[in-house]
Amino acid sequence: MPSFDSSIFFSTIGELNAKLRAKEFSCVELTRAFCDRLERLGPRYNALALPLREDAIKQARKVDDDIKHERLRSPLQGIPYGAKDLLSVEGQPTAWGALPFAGQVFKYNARVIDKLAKAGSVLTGKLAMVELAGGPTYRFAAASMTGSGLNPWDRSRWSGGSSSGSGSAVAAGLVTYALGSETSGSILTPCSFCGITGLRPTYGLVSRYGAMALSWTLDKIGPMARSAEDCGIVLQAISGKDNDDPGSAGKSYYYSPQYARQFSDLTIGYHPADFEEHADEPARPAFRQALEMFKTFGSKLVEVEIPEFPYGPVISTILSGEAGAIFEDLIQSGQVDKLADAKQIAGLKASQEVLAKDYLKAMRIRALIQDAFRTLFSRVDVLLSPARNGVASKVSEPLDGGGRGSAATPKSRGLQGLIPAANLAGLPALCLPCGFADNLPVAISVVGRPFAENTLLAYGNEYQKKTDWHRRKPPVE
Amino acid sequence: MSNKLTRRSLAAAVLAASAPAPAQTQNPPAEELERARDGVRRNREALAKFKIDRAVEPAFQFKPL
Repeated sequence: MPSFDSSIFFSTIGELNAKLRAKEFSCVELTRAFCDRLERLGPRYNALALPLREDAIKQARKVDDDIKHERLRSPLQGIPYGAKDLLSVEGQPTAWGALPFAGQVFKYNARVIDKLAKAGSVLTGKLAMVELAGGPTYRFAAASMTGSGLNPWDRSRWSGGSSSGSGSAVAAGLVTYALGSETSGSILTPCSFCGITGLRPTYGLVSRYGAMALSWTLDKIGPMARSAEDCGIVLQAISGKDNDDPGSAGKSYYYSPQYARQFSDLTIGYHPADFEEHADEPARPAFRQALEMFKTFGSKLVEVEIPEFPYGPVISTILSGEAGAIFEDLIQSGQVDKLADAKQIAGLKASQEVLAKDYLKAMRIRALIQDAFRTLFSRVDVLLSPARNGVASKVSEPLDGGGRGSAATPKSRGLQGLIPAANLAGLPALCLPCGFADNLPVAISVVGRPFAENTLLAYGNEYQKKTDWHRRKPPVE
Repeated sequence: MSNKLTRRSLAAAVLAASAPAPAQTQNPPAEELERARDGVRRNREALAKFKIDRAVEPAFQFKPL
């Protein structure tokens, strides 16, 4: 077995696939090396839910045979990846990060797992997550059967949630990419906190079949990876119509940012307050620098504000209403008390008191939110803002403690609340690492119209051509 | 990909399941539950304040199959 230089674990999909095709090493050798690393370092970050070495090696043997016979399937052929433990893998435990579901085994694969297997990618493990993907809400990073997700940049910090293991495993080079899911912030947050690139797809573009449902109308599955390009490659493989997902948009996606409109024809909406008053002070220089870089692309920049709606109460009511129905048995049986986080338990119990009229009112306001964003996107092509206002919180501190933004009330709401707002509107978002504050990563996000992933990725590629924040490695070893 | 439940993966899952849940260091569940119920009530009040035209339908459609 060749001894792999540590840089191999931080290679992009394209770089690894080229080496596999050039037969610099076999897929079995690569898979063994990644499995060793995932099993050795995964527990250090509480990132590993379940190792899948045996099946990974079997898949790797098939890939080696394919490459030997020049059956080249896709750029993902032979690439090791991890999947959030909310995705079912046939015959393997799928615990959803929650003790009451620890012994749960499904007889089928999630659609995205099947699609990636068909592309030749190698699943090396299930990755840890916040229990029930966060449910209505939770207070501590420790809200998981596998403990707090620890950040590879600083283990006293949270890796973000709810796709915690996916975030830290990619950042620490334990997998080349991972699948995460987002109901409201669960891809963008760990990507921002761990310094990796992530894509939240348009609602309905990627099948939810075989994924734990937290909210039927909000859940999305998306890639968390080393670059915008890697996100595009993975999205192409996992997207597409699926009759087994009632929310499927019936659309495919082809990664072709080269055909996106010229930047000079595009307009970026942003608000300076997001990069200044709303941002935590130590993060402002990085955010300013990122904004300045985007200004060099030739797009027109205009100041915009987020449409005014009660996003918090709307998303909270929809999420509680749907999660309360989905987990009714868990709640009524009392098994809910086995969850790790008191706030999560209480939130699920209280979800039983959400009235139908309130859920429907929230869904009616949601229709107006969609309209308002449609109007906003008639003026701009993308929205640019910090992905999160600052760095990862300490694992010991409550998550509902508030940020370190300006003490004075900002003059404008800017684009604050964009995570719940864009999730309510089903909009895609790309998270791009843009620097460091207090030696921890921070990131910006680019949000676009429904199904405008190629525009977002074109911006992402351009930004990552001119910066190297996405290539920075945490001090893992 | 063929995935079978191996002894190794089952052991890993059981081990994880038997790990003690993190200690609850926050307020007792009764207070926590009351806070969560307050949250539901506050959301209800916030939604009630938002005036909306009767013609606006919810952001989903029933589709006959």
